[in-house]
Amino acid sequence: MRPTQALGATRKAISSLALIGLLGLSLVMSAAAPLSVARDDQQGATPSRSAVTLSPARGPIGSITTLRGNGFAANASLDVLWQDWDGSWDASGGGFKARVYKERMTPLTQVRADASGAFEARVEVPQGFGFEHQIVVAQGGERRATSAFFVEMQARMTPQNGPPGTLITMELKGVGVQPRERDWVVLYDNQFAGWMSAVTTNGTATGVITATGGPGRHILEVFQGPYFPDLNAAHSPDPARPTWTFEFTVTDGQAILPPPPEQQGPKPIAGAPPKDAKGPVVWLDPASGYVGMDVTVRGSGLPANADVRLDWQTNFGPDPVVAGGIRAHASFPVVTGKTAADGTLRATFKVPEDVGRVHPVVLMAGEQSLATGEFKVRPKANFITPASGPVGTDITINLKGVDDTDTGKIFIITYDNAWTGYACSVTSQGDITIHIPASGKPGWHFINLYPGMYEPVGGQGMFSYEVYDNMEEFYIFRVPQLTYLADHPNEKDIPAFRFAFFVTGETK
Amino acid sequence: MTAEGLTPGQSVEFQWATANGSFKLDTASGAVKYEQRVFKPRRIPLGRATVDAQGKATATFAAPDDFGEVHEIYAVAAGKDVAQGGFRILRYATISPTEGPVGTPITITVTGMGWKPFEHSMGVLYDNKYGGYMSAVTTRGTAVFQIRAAGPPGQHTIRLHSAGKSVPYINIQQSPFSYLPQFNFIFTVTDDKGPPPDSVDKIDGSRVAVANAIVPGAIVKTTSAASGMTATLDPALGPALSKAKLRAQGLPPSAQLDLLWLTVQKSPNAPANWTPATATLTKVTTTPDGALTADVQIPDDVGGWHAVRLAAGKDAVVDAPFYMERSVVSVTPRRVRMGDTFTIKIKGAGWTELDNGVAVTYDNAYIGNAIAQDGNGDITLTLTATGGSGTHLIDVYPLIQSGKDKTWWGYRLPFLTFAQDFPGMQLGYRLSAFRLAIEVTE
Repeated sequence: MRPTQALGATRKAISSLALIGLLGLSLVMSAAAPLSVARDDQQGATPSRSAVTLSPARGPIGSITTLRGNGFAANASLDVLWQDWDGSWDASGGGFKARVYKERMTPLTQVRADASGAFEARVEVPQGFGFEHQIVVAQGGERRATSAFFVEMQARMTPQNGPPGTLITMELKGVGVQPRERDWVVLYDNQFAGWMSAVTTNGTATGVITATGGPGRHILEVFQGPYFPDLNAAHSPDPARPTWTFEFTVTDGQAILPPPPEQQGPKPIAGAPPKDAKGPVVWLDPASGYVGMDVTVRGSGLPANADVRLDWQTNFGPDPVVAGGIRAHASFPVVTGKTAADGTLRATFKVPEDVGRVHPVVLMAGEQSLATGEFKVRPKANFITPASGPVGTDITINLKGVDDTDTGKIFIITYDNAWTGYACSVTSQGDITIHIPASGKPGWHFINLYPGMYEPVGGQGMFSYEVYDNMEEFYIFRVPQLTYLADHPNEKDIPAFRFAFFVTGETK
Repeated sequence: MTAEGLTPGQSVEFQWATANGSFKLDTASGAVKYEQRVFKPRRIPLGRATVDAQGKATATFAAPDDFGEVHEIYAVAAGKDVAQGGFRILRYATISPTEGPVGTPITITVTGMGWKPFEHSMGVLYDNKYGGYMSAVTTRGTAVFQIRAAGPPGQHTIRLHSAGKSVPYINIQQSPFSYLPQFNFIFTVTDDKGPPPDSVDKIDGSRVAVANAIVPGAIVKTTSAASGMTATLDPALGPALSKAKLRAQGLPPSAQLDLLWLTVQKSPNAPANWTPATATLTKVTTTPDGALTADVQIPDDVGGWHAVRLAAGKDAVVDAPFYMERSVVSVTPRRVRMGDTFTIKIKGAGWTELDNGVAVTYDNAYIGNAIAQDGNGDITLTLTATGGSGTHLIDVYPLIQSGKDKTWWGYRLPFLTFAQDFPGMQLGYRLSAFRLAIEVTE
């Protein structure tokens, strides 16, 4: 909550120390009434009953509320604190374990009570998590009074119209931290399109879906719901949960098609020699990229004119989460070459078909290890085929380099914004091939593959109900995480892949 | 079937390895909760044969009507397994019919579903929209259920897909379970003749525990009547606000008794918990020969198991159990402009995790769930009309709210096979699916 004006009895120039802190709080200064927050030792005794009120006691982010206090020590300098949280995902070990919200009390401002022990301040609700926040008024580090402010959620859809294939951005502000506040889901024409979270994004959730369907109006709805919309909100113990309904108009006109598969996904990241390298080193350029792309291994400080090979390290085997066991460690050569007379190396190889992750590489001379490096395989869209056909046509979509963690190994499929199912990469060594029968009216149809989580894992990397036991995280698995881009639980560079298919009019 | 290398002249029995499927419920805590599916291995004798002089025993048998996938077959002699083979029951699926107007019930039959993880559940995709899951836990691998034809005239795809956790595992051909088949069908919607009338798909009564029995583990405890006293309600099940006839005999002659309604209510101190409660319905007087006949107005209450009690003061005399079914009160309006809302009111939702919620599909796409939470069994669904002009279908299915299955199951998802394979059946729960429809106008 940002103070806009403090109306304490004593007005003084803001101290440099306070200014530094308050600038960090996005202080909104009023030219007409300079903020009066400064330290003052001339404070009276603290009365026994201090109280604060907020009017209004609820509002959206950016709204103004007035904080009034009384019963404080005369002329007391008071700290106004806002209950806030730092959100994070506990995905240590590659699997979801918990959402963690660390509470913190953020200093909002300092105000000065007047001679009667009262004060008044107008403040602006800051960006952040929504729902109930405590506002604490403290004196000398001791809590004197509290009041609650309810931050109302806001939802926005942009744009409001466009041809098929238009990317529609849904933005929620003021997402909460409690179980019935933090999960929101989107329906598109009464079809479940995905789940929105805002754990690490300070209460703001942003997701993108694709405009689909024939020309005309289409309905997008946002519901609270772990997993799926709670359709009985009227009889919920928390009827205050809002819902939103938006209309998107699909216009006539040329469909906006997603980029070709090869243009989707994270861009390769250039490699560079290790800093302050001494002795033999190897590095790969790029350092991150796709299955099948050319990579140059470079080295220096190596033995001159030596025959070398680069061994690629990985794991093979069925997904232990579904089949038990472990994936066996494996190593195989990807390129051989000869070092130059000056001990440098330059050789090119194609990234092998493998799971997405950081793969160590080891430069070997015979059985001697000379140096190690690494390459990070990232997921890529390989192809969709065919591009058109009648209802029932077998649409085949292929991805490569999909990760092998529980938070990265699956993609969740939507067809025209309707949840279809999931696909997993581990047993197939990073390859995902899905077959979908074409459906729907003649015209363009859109198939999106979103990141998501498979299921919670315990200490051995296996499925665990321990996470479920508190019931708070029961339903966030195997559903499309629309907010993957900014709030993925683990990997921060897993893309969503978008495809289009044209259903023709003939009968299959 | 041939076994070799056996002792000549020995009699061997061929045994078929399978499992018995059941649902484990927690009824001990005073609540009724679903816990998990349980598959207990067992063997079924197939027949006997005598080992010939070459040490070979041969027999012919018909593949049992059983769970799908690989079953071990043992040759057992003198109580010991002396040989082992296997037989795989393949999965098979049909739909019927394959064309019809909007609202046509489509019967889907799948045989050969397994009992092991990833083999035991499948999902249904209608035009690639997930519409729910099927199970065959207590039906030995056979699932029979219905969805309805939805969408504009033309061809529509129905895909029956193996499911990892009740959710279709779309690339299962790349998994350790690549042997599991998927089934694709085309259904042709011939016409839109307007919204079909509402209908109720009831549970298969032959598979459910008998109503009017005392419910094990439920909070609503019925009392043991004195010898010779009996009381029954006719019907013994029905919706809220329905009427039933109470007939009792063996009662004290010419006695004035209280007619009580045994129910539950939310605990005031812990709203998540339920406690027993009693409401007085009326007073009744028995005949000189100790008989009683009375009309009973079933209250507007939470659904599930209740009882009507005859009591003398504080003393219970005899109880007559009653199962309150869920019912649709209204769908309003029936003609809805695109983008406007319509409301479905349901009464009789229960207080247990087996019967307190519904899962809803719109044109066979799952859109969400609703749990009755306010203590009176009411569920109000406020939905938005979408999909363009014409008939649109809303199907309201039973669900399981949560559980502790070793392999995650379809919690809060449409339980399409509820009529034959639902966990609450063993306790006499009779849940229905409601088939509703609206007409969307522009």
